[in-house]
Formats: sequence, structure tokens, C-alpha cells
Amino acid sequence: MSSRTSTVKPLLLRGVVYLAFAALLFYVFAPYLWLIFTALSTQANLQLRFPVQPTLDNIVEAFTGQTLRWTRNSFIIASSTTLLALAASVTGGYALSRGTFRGKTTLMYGIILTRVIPSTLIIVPVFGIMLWLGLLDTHVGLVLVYVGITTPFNLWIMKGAIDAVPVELEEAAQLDGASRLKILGTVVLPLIVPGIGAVGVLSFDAAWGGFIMPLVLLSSTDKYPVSVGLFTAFGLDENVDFPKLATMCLIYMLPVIILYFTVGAYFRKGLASIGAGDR
Amino acid sequence: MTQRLRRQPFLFLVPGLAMIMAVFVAPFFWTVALGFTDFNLWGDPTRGVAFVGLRNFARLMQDRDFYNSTAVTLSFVLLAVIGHVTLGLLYANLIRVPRIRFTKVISVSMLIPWLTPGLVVGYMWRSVLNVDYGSLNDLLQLVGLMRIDWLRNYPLISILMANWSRGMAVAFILLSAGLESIPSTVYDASKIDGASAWQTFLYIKIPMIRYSLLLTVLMSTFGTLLAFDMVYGLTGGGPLGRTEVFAIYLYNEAFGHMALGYAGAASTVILMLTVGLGLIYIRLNRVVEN
Repeated sequence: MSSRTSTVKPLLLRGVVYLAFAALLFYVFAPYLWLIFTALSTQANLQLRFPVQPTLDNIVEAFTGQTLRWTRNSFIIASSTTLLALAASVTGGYALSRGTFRGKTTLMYGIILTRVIPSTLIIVPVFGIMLWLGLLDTHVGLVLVYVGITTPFNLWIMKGAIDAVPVELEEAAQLDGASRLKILGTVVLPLIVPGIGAVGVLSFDAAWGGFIMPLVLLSSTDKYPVSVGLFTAFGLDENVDFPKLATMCLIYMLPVIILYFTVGAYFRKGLASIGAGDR
Repeated sequence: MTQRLRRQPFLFLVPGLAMIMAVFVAPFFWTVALGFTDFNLWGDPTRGVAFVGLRNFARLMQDRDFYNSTAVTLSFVLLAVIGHVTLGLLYANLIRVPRIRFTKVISVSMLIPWLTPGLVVGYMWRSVLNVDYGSLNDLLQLVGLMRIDWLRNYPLISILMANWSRGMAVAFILLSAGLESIPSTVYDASKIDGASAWQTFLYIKIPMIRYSLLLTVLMSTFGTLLAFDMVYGLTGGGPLGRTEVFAIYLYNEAFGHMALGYAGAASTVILMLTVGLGLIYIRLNRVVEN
């Protein structure tokens, strides 16, 4: 008798837990169903309707014309940001890890403190600086801003990664007469691949996903990334081409998700220290 | 030789530091300075920028829109954080119920909403909440309730529903990690003492995950305090400013009204508010430590 109650009760509990998770997953993922269904239909509105005759026309069409251009812009902006962010954080992280200079600890905390300032609050002066430098409405200006935004956290990740590389390895190379830059490139670099991966994924994500910076800094439609293109094309209207909108939403969100679940998976350790930024 | 080695690594820092200076440090001081000027983007461009003292700040103190935005933002942040922590805590506990399967799949899939761009989340929820076609209203109708015009009549609840669905993921991940770090011997001991599940939760789990809890509150506070993308995509700040959170207010002042000086003053005040909140957390952290 007693053994029966002790098996029934956990079973009931597990049933309740599964139900609770089903409810949560429904709440969180039902909106995605609309996005996917709508992207696969030719005619759709805001209603959640299963595409009876699914079509890939919207997705094929997205690879022509303006959407293609916006996607290409996003790739250009995000990959340039990633490359420059890597260069700045590998060299900077190396200096922070190996260098001995006065005020290093203060500098380290000063660097991370800048992350407390949300990018929304600095948008006005950043606009002013870009106006002054003549870099408004250019990808160069936007990329520089993204490199700056991602650098503080990247420096910390890289310093941590380089700290883990034994200095003895470098000293051996130094005896052979190699320069600092060469040591960094041939000895250190191959040993900090996880850190590079983490910085790369985070920087790409920041630049790809960003919306308010390009919204403010770019003004020509031709230069827009997907985020701003999406918003200017559809805005907050009630009567728009919803299949097109849903397709663009997918193009906007999928690269980041794919990046995290493929490349990012290799760098879990480096990514474990992610702080969720303001998105 | 040693001299050269010392100097060189410092040079390596220059690009990174220059970037931080250009994007954070200079703009920070520039924002504060702008607040004391009448700099704007309309009118005669040859006319210089004038120092106006505290005029912007005086105007701000009488700006209905600013007070509205402050009220909207604070209630949004408060309710958002409560939602994240409650949902995160509930599900972080549920996933640890013995012999539950698919825990790995569930945990990993919780990352997806967090990775989805805010603008896309805003657009998705606009379809869900739409009065004529939205699936939430279809669901309400199915169980015999009235359709509700969420976006017009309950805009704050609308942005909260969208916000909770992704913000709870972060809370869930952090709090799960916190619960995982509690050694199982602690549970065994409480079981021997005859503690109920609720007592275990209240007197053992909560105190032992207080750091994770505080970190969660901190992350979701600062994650929502200046959120822009999702709210802008869902309501655009409307209707009639009822979801005009700080970020949207600032954007409208700066690039809608082109009043950069005034927006600079508003940014400075909001920044002080942010710093104040940060100090409260540092204080709380000390309390938690003791």
C-alpha cells in the first residue's frame, strides 16, 4: 500500500511539471509559429494559420533586390566589426595580461565600468562625433562605434584567455630572437582560440543585431542593415505585406541563432562569462 | 632591451583604448556638456551653439512627457524584473524535479528567445496581440471570453508579455546554475529534519542562491531600463506615450524634435538615476554578504 502511494505521487508531480513546461514553451514559442507559417505563405495577415500550400517564393524573392542589399550590408558591418574587434582585443588583452605598468588595476576597472553606460545614453554625442568626423551615413563610422561598444568586455575576455597561456613558452621564443608581435602571432594566438571564438561571436552578434545605432547614424536606404531596413519598410502599419515582413524577420534572426548553436557551441567556456547586454 | 619590452605591450593597448575613449569616455562628458547648451539640428546651421546654463534642466523639471516617461519606465522595469525572477525561479526549481526528461533540450531552447533580436520579438507579439487576428484573442474567444484590444487598452501589459517571454530565459539560466551549486548533502540534511518542500525552498534554497538572485535582479534591471528595440517594434512608444520608455523618449527628443542639447540634459538626469540604482545594488550586495 505504502509503496503504491510513493510511486503515484511522484508520477503526478512529474505530470504537473511536464504540463508547466508545455505551457511555458507554448507561451515562448507560439509567436515563432506565426513567423514561420507566414513566411511560408503567399497571402497572410496577422492570423496564425497553417500554410496549406507552403511556398519558398518569399525566401527566394528575398535574395533579390533591396533585401539582398540590406543583408549584404549587415554582413559587411558585422564581419568588419568582428575583425577589428578581434585585432583590438587580442593586442590590448595581451598588453593587459603581460604588461606591468602603473595603474593597471585601475585601468582594468575603468574599462569594465564603461559597460555600465548604456549605448542609448551616448547616442546623441556619438551622432555629434560622427557629424564632426564626417562619418555620418557611412559603414566605417558605424563599424567604429560597434568596435568601441564591444571592446571593453572583449578586452576582459582576452586578458583572461592570455593569462592562461604560460609565459615560459614566450620566453623560449624570445631567446630565439622573435619580436613581440611575432611571438603573439605564432605562440600565443594558437593557444587562445576559444577566447577568439567567444569575442568573435559576441562582436558579430552585437553588430548584426544592433538597431538604434544604424537607425540614428545611417540615412541612405542603400546603406541600411537588415534591422533598419526591416523597420523602415514595415514600420508600425497594420496593412503591410506580412509574408515579406516575416521572411525578413527570419533573415534577421537566423544568422545569430545559427552562430550560437554551431560555432558558439565550441566556445561555450569562453561564452560562459557572457553578461546579457541591453538588447 | 627590458625597457623596450616594457613599452611595447603598452602600445598594443592603444587601439582598444582609443576606441573606448571615442565611444564611451568622450561621449559621456559630451552628453553632460551638451545639456548646458541649446544645440539643435534645425534652423540656421551657421548660428553657433550657445551656453544656456541650467535652462534645459529647469525645463526638464516641468516636462510632462519626461515625468510620464519616468513613470512608464519605472513601472515597466519593476514589473519586468518581478516577472523574470518569479518565472525564472519557478522553472529553475521545476527542472530539478527528479526523473524529468528533456531537461537539456528545454534549457538549450530557452536560449532562442534571448538570441532573437528585440525588433523581431516586437513584430511577433504584434501579431499575437492584434485585436482582429491575434492568436491570443483567438484563444480567448475559444474559451468563451471577449477579444481584447491589448495594444490600445493595455499597452504596458502588452510590452510586459513580450518582455517576460525572453527576459525569463536569462533568469532561468542564472538561477538554475545557482540551484545546481547547492550540494546535495544540504537537501539530505533538510529531509532528515523533516522540512517540507516549501520550507526547503524558503529557508534553504533562497538563502543559498542569494548571489544568483541578486545578479539576476541586476541583469534584468539594467537590461530593461534602457530597452529600445522591442518596445519600438511593438508599440513605437504609443498609444499617446503610454509605453514611452526612457530610450524612446530620448530618441524622440533628440531625433524627432532635433533638440540635442535638451536630450543631453535628459540623458544626464537619466544617467544619474542609473548610477543611483547601481549604488543601491552595491549596497544590497554588501547586505547579502553579511
